[in-house]
Amino acid sequence: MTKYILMRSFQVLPVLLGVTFLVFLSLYLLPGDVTLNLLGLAANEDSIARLRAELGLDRPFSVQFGIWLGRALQGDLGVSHVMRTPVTAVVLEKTGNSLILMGAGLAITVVGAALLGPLSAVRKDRATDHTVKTLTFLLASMPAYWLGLVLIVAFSITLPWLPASGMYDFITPGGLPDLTAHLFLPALTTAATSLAIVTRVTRAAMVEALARSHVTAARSRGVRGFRLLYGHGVRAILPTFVNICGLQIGYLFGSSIFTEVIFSWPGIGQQLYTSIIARDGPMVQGCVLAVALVFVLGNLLADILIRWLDVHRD
Amino acid sequence: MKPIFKALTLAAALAASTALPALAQDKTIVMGIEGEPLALDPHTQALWLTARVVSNMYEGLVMQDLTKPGTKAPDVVPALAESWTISDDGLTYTFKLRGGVTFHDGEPWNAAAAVFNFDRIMNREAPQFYEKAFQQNTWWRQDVASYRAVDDMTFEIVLNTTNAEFLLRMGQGGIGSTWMASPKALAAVPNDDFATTPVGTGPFKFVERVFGEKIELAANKDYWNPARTPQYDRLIYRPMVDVSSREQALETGAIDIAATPTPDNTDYLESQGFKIVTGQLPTVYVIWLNLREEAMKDARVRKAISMALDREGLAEDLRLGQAIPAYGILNVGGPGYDEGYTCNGYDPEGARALLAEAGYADGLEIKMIWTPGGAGDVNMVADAEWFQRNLAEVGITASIEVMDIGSFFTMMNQGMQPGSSLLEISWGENTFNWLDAVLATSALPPNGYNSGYYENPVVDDLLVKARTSATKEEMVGNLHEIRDIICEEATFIPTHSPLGVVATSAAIGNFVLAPQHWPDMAIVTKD
Repeated sequence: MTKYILMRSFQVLPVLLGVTFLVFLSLYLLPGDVTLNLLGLAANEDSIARLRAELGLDRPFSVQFGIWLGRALQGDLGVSHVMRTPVTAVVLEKTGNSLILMGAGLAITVVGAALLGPLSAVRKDRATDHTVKTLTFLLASMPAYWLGLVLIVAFSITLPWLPASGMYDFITPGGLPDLTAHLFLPALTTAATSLAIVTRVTRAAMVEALARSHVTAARSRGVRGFRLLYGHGVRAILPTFVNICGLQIGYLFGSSIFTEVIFSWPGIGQQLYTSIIARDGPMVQGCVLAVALVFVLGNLLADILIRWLDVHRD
Repeated sequence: MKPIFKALTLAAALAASTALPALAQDKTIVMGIEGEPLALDPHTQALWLTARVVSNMYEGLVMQDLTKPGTKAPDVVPALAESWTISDDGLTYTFKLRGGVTFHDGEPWNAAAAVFNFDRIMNREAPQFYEKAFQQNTWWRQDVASYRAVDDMTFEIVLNTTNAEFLLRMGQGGIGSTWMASPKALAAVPNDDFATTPVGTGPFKFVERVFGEKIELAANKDYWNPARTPQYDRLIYRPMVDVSSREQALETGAIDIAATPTPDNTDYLESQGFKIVTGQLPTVYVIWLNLREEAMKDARVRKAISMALDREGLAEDLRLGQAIPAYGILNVGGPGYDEGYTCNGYDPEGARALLAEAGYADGLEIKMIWTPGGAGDVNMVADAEWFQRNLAEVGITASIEVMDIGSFFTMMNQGMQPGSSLLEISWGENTFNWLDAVLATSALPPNGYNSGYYENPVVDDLLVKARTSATKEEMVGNLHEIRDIICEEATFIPTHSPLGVVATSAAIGNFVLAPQHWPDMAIVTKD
């Protein structure tokens, strides 16, 4: 088990290296850099050259990437060209905010799918099943930038129940209850697609599991209802469930960019968007690294959990 | 504090104080803005978005009176200088500084502070010299020969050339500025870090900036001018990139003011009890023609393009009244602007005739380079499509290539490529700064934004004459001459001047959009 964890962790490194290299390369190849944004009308051949030299943008690609990588390995992601502030601090803070959103989305996904999936499977081809199937179909078809707006109109404007933007109310900030209220709509929006996918997969796996011989055997022994479902069915589908949920971690984190822009959630997606527009190289690198890290670690965690479940199954 | 722990700490704090008494209500105004401002350093500021925030905390020797909307240039009024005299030769400016003013950190404002700030921008020998500030302030610095503290409260600037606009420049911002910062605070941190700890004399003090979340300012209750001492306690800027989220945040009461709502939504917002404030922006959208393209070398073709454009229709029907047509290259609110000026106006028949005369009776294909813009304008690509339809009516087939703003400016700085016929972007404040960066031969790529390769020695001379005019009348005369030459040649084609639009809650009062890129937030009220 330890050997497996070590090996899988080791495999994460080339992925991260590849991602950072590709992002660095595409930023390098993009027309335009940050200097014109910063200099505005003061831009002339001389001032552009000076600023490029100061920011290290005049060096060859390999040198720029080498320096960045060397520092990154020591936890220093450089200084934002636009904000003049250390990237690491901003990225950590924004990642934290995004993790809060992602965590809430994941919780909705896991709990929702764990309830709806098996329920739908047990009631296969009956009204409950059809309702769940229709619901998941709808959820999977609604893009975040549409669902988000509809939820805002419904629950923030028509029914003024929940706030629609940011993490806290700036006029009267109110701690955790305030955060929870602000979290509700964006978390729901983020979770919609994942909830649909996980519910569908869980339902399918459960239908299959319930048809297996050991479940039939249990049923013939008189095991019924929840004992049958959770005692036999759930154990069989647990690895599938964990695997698909693990995949959602990366998906939820990556797709939060839409939700964050719609709800002005100060997370990594929003930061990435702003930084790309401003051509803020170090900030884009830092944000992408954070997203990649969460993605890869999420999958790693799921893999280890599945392996662990596998080992301890019998 | 790392936000991962923020929630936990909050939970703990909450548990510890479940019976927390309600905090004394202080009056806060929250404004949702179109994006994240850049570094908050008065001497290196760039982007109007940045000026909007910085202008609350800092001020110069003079300032503009931003309490009146309209198209006329705002009056220059005293700020950190109480009064001034200008020598008869127009070269020596002596400023009598305002007494009893302190910076937000308690440091006194005096001539030594003025010299310290000027040294930071333009004295390479000074320890606080800042290269970026030097670069960003060329537009006024190039005319300054020397400056000194005559006595404790008298500051003198000597110019190497007359300049009828110099006084205004001592109050102007947006691209660098001479707005004054506390010498003690400046000396306390490396130059690059000063943006994170702003200390000025303005009506608001810096409190906190959380990137992507907020910039919080507090009212400076000790401000020297009672008329501009804020009647509320806190001013918070929230960067909200998405326009619909700004509108929704306004509707739900999360913010009090939303910058630049969509033109389609202003009626709806008004029907819901919100106020829509508009004001002419000091800018003009202008088409640059690529004068190296064969067809564009022909003045008849250039005029035909100008005459094909239905500017009135664009202003009324497409922009829903949130723009006015523009025919001259001088911007609203700048020197020499004339609201009634027209030139090569809408005349599709005439345009077709000119094209036929130039040998394009069978049509002409051109490519327009466009950008959806940075912050502040909602739908610039729709303008391009409007012009595309206008041009089709006179037999010009125009394709549109859209670039993001970063790539667009790079392209402009490198000059238009063969095959590109024209581009459009806005210019405006400061008028001279722009004209020098766009019309002058010295601004040919890669030294500026003369991206269509315009070369006219007469205009070059006039630009210098206009900038160094001793009197306002002389300056305006020179500017009008430039405007008329450009109109006659049709080498640049102005199209429209946009209105600034802001939506506020019913509780917000006295929000004025004067023809400047930042509003005076100190005079705003909240019920």
